[in-house]
Amino acid sequence: MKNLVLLHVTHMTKLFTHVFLIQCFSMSLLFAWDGNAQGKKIEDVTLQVSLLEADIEKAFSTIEKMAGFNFVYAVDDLKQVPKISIENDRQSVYDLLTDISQQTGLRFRQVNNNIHVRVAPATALGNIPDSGNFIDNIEVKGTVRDGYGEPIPGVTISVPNTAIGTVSDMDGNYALVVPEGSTLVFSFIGFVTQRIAIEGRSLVDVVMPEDMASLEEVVVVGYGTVKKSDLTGSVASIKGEDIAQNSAGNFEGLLQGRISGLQVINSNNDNPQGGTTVRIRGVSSINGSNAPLVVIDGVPLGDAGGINAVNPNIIASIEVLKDASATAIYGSRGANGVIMITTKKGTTGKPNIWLNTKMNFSTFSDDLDYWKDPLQMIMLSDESRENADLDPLYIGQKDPSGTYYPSREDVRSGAWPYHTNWPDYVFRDVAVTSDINAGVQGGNQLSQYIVSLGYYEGQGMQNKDDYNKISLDLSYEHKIVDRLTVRTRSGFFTGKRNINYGMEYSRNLLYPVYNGDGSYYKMNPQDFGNPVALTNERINKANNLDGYATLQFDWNIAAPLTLVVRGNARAGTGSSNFFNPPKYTHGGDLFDGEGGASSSNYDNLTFDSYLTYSKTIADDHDIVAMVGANYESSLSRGLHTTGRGFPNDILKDENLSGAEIQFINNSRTQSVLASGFARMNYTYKSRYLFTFTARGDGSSKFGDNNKWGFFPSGAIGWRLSEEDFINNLDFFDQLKLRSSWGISGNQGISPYQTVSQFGQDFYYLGEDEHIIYGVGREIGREGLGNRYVQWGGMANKNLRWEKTSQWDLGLDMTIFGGRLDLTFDYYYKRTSDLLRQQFLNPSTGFDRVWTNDGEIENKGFELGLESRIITRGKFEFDAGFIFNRNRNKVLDIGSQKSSGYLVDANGVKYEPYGGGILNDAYLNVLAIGYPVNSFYGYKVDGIIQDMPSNPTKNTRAGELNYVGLNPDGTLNPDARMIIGDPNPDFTSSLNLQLRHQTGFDFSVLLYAVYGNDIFSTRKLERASLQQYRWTGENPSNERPSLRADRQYFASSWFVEDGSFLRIQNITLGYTLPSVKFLQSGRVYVVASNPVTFSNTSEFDAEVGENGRGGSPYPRVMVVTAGLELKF
Amino acid sequence: MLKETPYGAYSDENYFNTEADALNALLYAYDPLNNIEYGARFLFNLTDIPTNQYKSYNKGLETALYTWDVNPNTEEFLYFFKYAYLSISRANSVLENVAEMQNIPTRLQQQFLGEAYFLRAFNYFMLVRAYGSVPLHQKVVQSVNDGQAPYADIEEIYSFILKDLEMAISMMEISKQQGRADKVAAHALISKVYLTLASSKMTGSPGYDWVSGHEEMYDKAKDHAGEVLFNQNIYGLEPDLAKIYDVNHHNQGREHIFITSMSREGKGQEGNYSQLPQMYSLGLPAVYISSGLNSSNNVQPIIESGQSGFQYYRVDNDFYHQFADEDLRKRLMVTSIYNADGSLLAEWSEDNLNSSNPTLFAFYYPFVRKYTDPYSNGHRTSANLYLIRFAEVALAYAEAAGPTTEGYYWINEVRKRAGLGELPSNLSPEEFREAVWRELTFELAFEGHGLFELRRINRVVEEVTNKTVKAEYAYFFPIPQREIDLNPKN
Repeated sequence: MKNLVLLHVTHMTKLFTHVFLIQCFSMSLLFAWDGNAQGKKIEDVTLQVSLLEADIEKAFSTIEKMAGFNFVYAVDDLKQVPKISIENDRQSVYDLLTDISQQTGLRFRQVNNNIHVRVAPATALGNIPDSGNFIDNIEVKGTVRDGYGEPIPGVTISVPNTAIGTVSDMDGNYALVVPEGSTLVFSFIGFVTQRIAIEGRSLVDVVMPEDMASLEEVVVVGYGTVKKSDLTGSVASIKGEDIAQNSAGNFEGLLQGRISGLQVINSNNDNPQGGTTVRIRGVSSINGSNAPLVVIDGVPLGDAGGINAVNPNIIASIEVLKDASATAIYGSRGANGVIMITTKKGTTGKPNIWLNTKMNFSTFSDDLDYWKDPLQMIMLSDESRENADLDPLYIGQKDPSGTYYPSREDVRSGAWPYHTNWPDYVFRDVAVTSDINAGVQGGNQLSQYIVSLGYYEGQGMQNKDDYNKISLDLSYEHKIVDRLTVRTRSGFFTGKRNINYGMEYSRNLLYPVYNGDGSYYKMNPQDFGNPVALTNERINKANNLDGYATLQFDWNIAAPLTLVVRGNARAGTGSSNFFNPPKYTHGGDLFDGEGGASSSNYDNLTFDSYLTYSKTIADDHDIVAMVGANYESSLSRGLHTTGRGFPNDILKDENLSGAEIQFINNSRTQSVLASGFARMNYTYKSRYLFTFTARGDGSSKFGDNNKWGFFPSGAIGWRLSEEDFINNLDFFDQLKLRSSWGISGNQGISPYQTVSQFGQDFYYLGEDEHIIYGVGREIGREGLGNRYVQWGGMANKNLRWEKTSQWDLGLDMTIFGGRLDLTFDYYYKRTSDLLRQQFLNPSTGFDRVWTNDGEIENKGFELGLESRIITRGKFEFDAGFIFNRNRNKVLDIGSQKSSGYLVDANGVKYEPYGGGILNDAYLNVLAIGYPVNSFYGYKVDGIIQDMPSNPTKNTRAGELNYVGLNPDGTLNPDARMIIGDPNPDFTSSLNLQLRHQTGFDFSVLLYAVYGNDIFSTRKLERASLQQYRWTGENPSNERPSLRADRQYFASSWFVEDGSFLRIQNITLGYTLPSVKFLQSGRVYVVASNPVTFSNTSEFDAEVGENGRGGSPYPRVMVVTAGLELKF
Repeated sequence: MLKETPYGAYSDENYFNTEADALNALLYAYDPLNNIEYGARFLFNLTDIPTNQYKSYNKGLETALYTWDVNPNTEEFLYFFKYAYLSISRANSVLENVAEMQNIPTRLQQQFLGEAYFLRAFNYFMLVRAYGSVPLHQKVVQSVNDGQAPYADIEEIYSFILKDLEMAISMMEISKQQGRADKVAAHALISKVYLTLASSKMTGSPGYDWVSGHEEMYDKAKDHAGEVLFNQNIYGLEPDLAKIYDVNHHNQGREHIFITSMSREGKGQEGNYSQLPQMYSLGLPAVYISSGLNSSNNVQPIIESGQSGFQYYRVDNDFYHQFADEDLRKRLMVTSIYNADGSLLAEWSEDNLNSSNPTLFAFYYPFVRKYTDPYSNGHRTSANLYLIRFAEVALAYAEAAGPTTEGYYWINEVRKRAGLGELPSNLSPEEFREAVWRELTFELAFEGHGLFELRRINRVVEEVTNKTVKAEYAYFFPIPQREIDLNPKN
């Protein structure tokens, strides 16, 4: 870089070559030109340089060596530059250059990793360009101030299309001579560029609003990136560091309440492996998947919900693509939205080593509720049985099942010695999870790398319920030749789960854990619920090992043209084994021991390649065009073995060949997706933005007649803040309206649904076992207890994509001098051709066949606010607010004849959706005109208070007062109706962050779900609620009497308001002062889920998408202590 | 590239190549009979529970059929219907595909096709007796539109059944094997079909006006029953009543013309093995019964000890009392239970219903021992369904022949085996048939015939006295709601 040749090393690759980078800033440092720069930020690279009266070139080469930037300059230009001195302080390159600029008058401009150096034009008349006309020059001066009235030094003031320009001084003052009638352009990094016509004035004072860096943020969209200001679609994002403080088995669990428009349900947060439900803009499919597609560094990974393989610590940012303009580029998989993960990349300069450790301590956030007083339990049992005309149980005898019930007297006197507090045997006092991440990153101008290692050792609340995982990720990139970069990313992930789950802590406290001989106590021969026996004797383990590798070439063919070629392979194996011993487990008892081992493996290959053309024509026309192709194949295989009937349980699952009966089962599924796609972005005068995308997808999963689908979208954006009439209002720093429409698809069904498949069973002819095959196969079960087989296997050659068309109207706004960002989106989403399994009339010999039929709509709005309330002084205070509202409605589920829905006495057209509950075969329904998952059942109007003259089982005082009973007091199925809606009216979150200059920070995240109904089965069971039952003395209108033989049906009595407000996280952190070897450090404490406000009878108000309660214990509260060190 | 080929799955396209393929597809058509939705439970729910044989005693866990509190959504109606059609669909698949096979011996091909015809007829006969007019599917349904088959009237269904059975008779040979039908079974079944037509017409049972004449039908019933009684020597009346129900005898028993073949060695789900004994037995952990009908010294468990029963099929004590005391068939209902050492544990008495002793309290009816398996593998048993027994054919012959020498001979053979004397010899044809019907009630009790027998003599309302019959469904159960919804009857 010693000569002019290097001046040509200008990297014009611009945005689209660097899909891996998510945000960087245009560094028009001290100079008024727009420059879209990529690479590391000069503010982020800090160095310690000490120079005394040094030559400028020496200064540059010093900085080059230390920071990895290249200075580009003409040697001659620097001849007149004075020598400089730099104090021995650690400071950012940005600050260094500011310093140098002030000493020398040089100006800098960053393009990628290059810093272009220019000599400041003189403020002399002679430098006015030679124009045809003679123009009078006048002197203009003034002061440049920021929004707070503080002067801004270093602001570049220039006149477009001339070499005239100057820089404001320390007091923000400037003066220069310009042709009359000129327009002055004031620009400075971090502030909104101002264009002001002098209109004959000689004094022009200027206020420059802060230009929040976000305006030039670059966001990842499919197969490319786009400047946030140029975005026409609805995309929300979050930085990895914002979620890294908490621990979870999978990354999705960390996103709750963090991203506008992303709904995350953690309905069972005790599972150390995680497992969440993730939705974007509601449920739009009933049998296909509703989970967004997760794409990591451009490679589709699968459905969101339980992705354990992604270590949250390697995430640099997450972008959520919500509207059709953004998702249509993923065509047949875009209908549920797309979550784009970008991982951290290597850096240049001295290697950084970091270490993040977290210890999580989990306890229940509320009290457990179970019988603690045996006499009270007995009293209520007696009452309950008496009301059913049954003899009391606790009379010192065995009942027919063989359970001995001690007499009430023996319990009272203590003659019955047992009193077991089962939670002591089921739960850990404190579940401890360690989460350790360490890594190193570094590199030079040619190569950068990052390696990170994660170790997670998670404990569930129940004894021996564990999940451990280790992940290693390596990312490396290297510039092979000038225009060609190779990138690789690879890693592996291994997880080990010991499942010991669902144990009964509410077991009868009158029975001991052990018999006198040390064997486990069973209440009767059919008692398989002793939690200690299950914990110690049962085996249920699952392990997995996954690996991936990506190889990518970025080839900048010519200035406007870039080609990306990428291949990714992912493969993994899983194994699991179980053993249910005789005597203590039901399966084991039934079969004399039951054990099995399974293994599975998968290979996924993705190849994609896309060409990007990016050019600005005649200054006003920015065009970025992209065209590409994609091929994905996935293959999975499984082998499952089960043995039943073991001579003894010594070897447990270790010798399956010793089993009397052995089952072997193997499977293989394969699917292929082939696609072509294209996108065109066109921007006129940076004001009018247009985006068109199209994708064609061919999937093997669909019928011979419908393999291919086409998914177009279009969007327009209007940057109002670029228009004078808005600009003149002097209110908006940024204002953009955008609107999009498009179609995306869902192919979320298993392969092989379009071909006919035979079923298989066993048949005995005398002693001979035949394995038999024929038309019709089991595809699922239905009815109470999933008792009845559903038969499928009929082909549907016409099966095709589910299509979602979506319209979005959005507004992005920044006001108050950059202090408040607001994003608002209204959307309307209509999904048609629903992939559903329609019922067939049973005389066909089939129950269901896949079809495309029905429509669902989702509409709603999303509001996101980010505000920097206090930005200077001792405190900094930020607040974020998210509000999402979605309305879901089933419009059509086919005609009754073709789809098989039911029509009730009220004319409601519905189809059961999901399994049975209580004594009903179903609770959730898809009903036309109602939201998905609506509750269906009987209406209950309080409790019957007075004994009728002719009482029946259901019409006595103390019974639930069912509306619309038959005259004989039996339940009338025709009286059933829609009794609740589990979909919330809105979800919302508030995130407050306070930082103090001493290094302390404090933040709170509140999360609220409002207006949903819960079907609370806990309402019936919770011990502490029994005191509110109806009795003659306490004629409650809330709870029925106790009656042992009462059958409960899905009724409105169980339906409760499921709204809750939760303090999701409270974080207190302290940033360590940097010392010699430590670049940065932070210690923090987080309390997660400490308090929830709700009115349900459930232990945990956060329930699954279908609104069913039932979690047997309260939400787990986690206290995390964390330490982050960077060397 | 986008073509799908399912892995590890057979379909029409790659199956039906070998003799074994054909046999296995045929057995797949038999298989629904073994399932609880059909033969192994709901058949009893639809036919025996709604009659005087059983009573619920209000003990909970009962099907709505105990009280006739039924409607088109009653689950037994749906699943019985569905499983009959499952078997029909699979039989249709055999008929369509095996007929096309080239590389299989003609004799076997004929046998397989004959059995498929038999099965299709057997299922439609179940359907027409249960529901009356039902959709007639003669082919495997290949698309949603194909599924909309019109409801055939009863006459059309019977003519279809008869045609299939004639085909079955012409194609099959006599070859006894547990779990499969042969030519004799086809004769037995067709005689039952004619008998049903004859008696229904004769008694004016609803839906059978169209039948040409009952005597003509009785003659045909007699001819075909005669083929079973006189024209083969593999099947016959099993002399020892207890042996009929001895699971280890199912395989070779002369009595069994068509019997299921569930096995205690069965893998997989219930249906591959039978769990019927528990449906009858008491809710007590271990129940031992006398090992024969006479001796009480040797005892055997109902099924392997330690497995308690569900008390689902509860014999009506009044029905028990209708059996003559000397009738050995009365002893097929258990009134004494024992401990493993042979000592008496408890005896049934009607008063047990009020007992405070938990064991007695559980023993409030004499339970059926026709389905027991002392050699069971846990709850997995070989207790099978007696779908067509020789005695049934003998009584069919007697009913069809009337008070003739042969008629008397065959009913008396059945009575003698049960330890009863001969019928009076001077009965009028009406009295004689009355006697046969009474004999059928006792002989075939608890074997899945009850309501069908009452329907074909037009006596459902008169004879079902321990529950209130829902009149609209007395003769034909409603078509299941799901079928009506998706394939409306017009």
